[in-house]
Amino acid sequence: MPKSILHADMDAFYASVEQRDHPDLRGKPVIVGGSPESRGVVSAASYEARRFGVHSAMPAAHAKRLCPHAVFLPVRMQRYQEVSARIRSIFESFTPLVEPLSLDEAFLDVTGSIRLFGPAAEIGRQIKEMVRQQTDLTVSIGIGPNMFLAKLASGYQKPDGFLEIREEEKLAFLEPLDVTRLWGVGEATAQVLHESGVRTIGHLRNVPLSVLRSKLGKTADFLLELAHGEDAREVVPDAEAKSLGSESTYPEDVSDIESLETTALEHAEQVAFRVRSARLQARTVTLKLKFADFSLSTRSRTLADATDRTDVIAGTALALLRRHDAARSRPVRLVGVSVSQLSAASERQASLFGREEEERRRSLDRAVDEIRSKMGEDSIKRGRLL
Amino acid sequence: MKFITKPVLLANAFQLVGGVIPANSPRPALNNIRLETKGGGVELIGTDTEVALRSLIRDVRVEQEGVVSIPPSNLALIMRETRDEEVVFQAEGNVCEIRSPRSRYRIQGDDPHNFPFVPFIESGKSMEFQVGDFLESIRRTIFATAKEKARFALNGVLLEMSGQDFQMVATDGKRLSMVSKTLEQKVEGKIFAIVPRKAMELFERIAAGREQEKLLLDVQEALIQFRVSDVTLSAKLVEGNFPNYREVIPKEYPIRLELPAAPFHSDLQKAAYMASDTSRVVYIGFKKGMLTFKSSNEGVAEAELEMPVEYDNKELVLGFNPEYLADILKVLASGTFRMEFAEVNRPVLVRADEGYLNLIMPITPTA
Repeated sequence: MPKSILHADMDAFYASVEQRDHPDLRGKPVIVGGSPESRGVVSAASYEARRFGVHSAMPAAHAKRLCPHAVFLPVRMQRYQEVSARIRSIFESFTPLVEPLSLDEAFLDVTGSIRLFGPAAEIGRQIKEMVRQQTDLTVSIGIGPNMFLAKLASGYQKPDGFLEIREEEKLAFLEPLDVTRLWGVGEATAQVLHESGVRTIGHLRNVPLSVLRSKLGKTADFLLELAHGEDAREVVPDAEAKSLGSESTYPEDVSDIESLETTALEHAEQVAFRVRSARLQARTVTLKLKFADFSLSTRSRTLADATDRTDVIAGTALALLRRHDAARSRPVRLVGVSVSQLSAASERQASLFGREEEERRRSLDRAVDEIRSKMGEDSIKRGRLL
Repeated sequence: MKFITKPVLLANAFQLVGGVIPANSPRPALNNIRLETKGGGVELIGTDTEVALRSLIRDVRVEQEGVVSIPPSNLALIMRETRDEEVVFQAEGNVCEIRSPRSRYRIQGDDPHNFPFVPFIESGKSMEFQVGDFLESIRRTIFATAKEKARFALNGVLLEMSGQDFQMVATDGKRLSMVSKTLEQKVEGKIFAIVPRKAMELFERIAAGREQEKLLLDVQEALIQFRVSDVTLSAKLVEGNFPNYREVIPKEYPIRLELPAAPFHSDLQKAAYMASDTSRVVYIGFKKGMLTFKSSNEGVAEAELEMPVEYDNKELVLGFNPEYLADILKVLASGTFRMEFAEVNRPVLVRADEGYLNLIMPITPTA
């Protein structure tokens, strides 16, 4: 059964809350963030201010030049959190599967709510109405069979937008859109694609995977999936239960354990890099295998102490793979590594023994991270250390 | 096979030996207990192939010799609840029947030939200890073993003896606990045995209530054996390299502080209750005349406690997993202990009583 995912995005959230709390500001350009006299940046701009070209993350002084008569207000984070909690409880009255991305944005998996509340579009309209009634704010809603399409839909007619992209119309919908609308296509990737004459998502679909891979490397597979309106990510409700993962599907099923190990190592490396980049550490490592018959297997191991070290995460993933009998006997289609039980990496339990070795591993991780951050994620790969 | 005995004796033996048996072994024979008439008594053996336990019931009347292998089948519980004076245990082939005047139980057993061979040492040259002494050493070290599987040597307790020196050591790589003693008699040769945690736990069970009795200890090649009266525990030693623990024990630290165990434990515990579940850290601050315990669960809870102490040295804050300290404080005999340290990134020494040393690696904030 196809899923029904809903993406709810509050319109100019901080600025709208201010306009609601100060009715005299309605209809006026409002900019929330640093004062134009300081070196602060814009946190949010009302639609009235956006018309002058003001957008978030812009230096406040620059915004002042673009829109001199705008009202500048300080950020009242606590207030926005209060309103956000109110809105979130509206979402949660329809489904427990709510994944907030920030104070003003969330994904809802309403697949299981349809029997109770009616079709996804009906749920979307009810949410819009309840948000308006209870908070006097507007929310843009996008609905789709997956997270990518839902988010695309919510951003399509902002503000106060409402759009559903159905499974059967997704290909036609994506066809004319610019490739930059695909998740993960930034300036650099867009330039590569434009140079090959690929401007729309429709164009992209017609490029053979091998050609795309030669230009973009491993992201090619992922982009092509998105171009076909496919996105396997799932809505993860609890922020605590969040995990970080990396996985890939082989072009052809793989049976030899060494190739599987190499792939698992690459994913472990990727995951460890992301754990460190987010200044987190993880306690549980999970290995995911999908076999040729599409059956799925996951194995986890929880460590004594949370870690952000590549060698520990990779070593655990490898141990799980080596102990997995089926991995030796059945062809594998997909390999993934993920970590969970994440916590802030603010402190670390040091070891009594082998501290030099540990320090050596950490400085190696730091060096690799630096190169990856500067040159891109595919810039460096480790030899088989394990 | 046929014998008559008191139900409580069967209950005790089944309970003890049943403690070794793995919950659900893929080898059905391992889920069984082997009973055999021997020298006028009945011997029960259970094993998981790594650790084996043998218990001899002497107070029986054997009417027919024999051997049988049966699952424990809650017999310990049933026998403990049996109010009749005596029970008759009889086996025909692999089927056992246990009768008393008012009850009858039948259990389908297994061919005793399927029961694995269990080695026991019959040396006659055992080392002698007092059960209570040995038990205390185990209780003071066993908590420091690594809890997660597959840490091999770190999952065991090291028993090292040479001449009159006795050392028992356990470490999970982040803390270490060691008991050192001087033996009354010299041991022959050098003993360096990593004893699996499970064997030490079983010994604790055997030893309970028998502190005044004699322990006969044997170590031979890859096997260690504990014998207390009619109960014998044998275990395969853990193979693997025990870390060079002597290397990490600091010779001399500049700062030493004598502390009262009970109030320290109490303040530590209160601070620990407020620590976050994921990081589990209590920061102990040392400054002139005062100790502070601080913990927090970001944005949710916070604790700060002060304890006056006689401290007159440099100011320092050390982060601890509170369990590591509490584990030690729980097994102290005396009311005080000593902390010795130098700086935040060096292991902290915790000493107490005679010959009891612990090392704890502090938790350090990441840069």
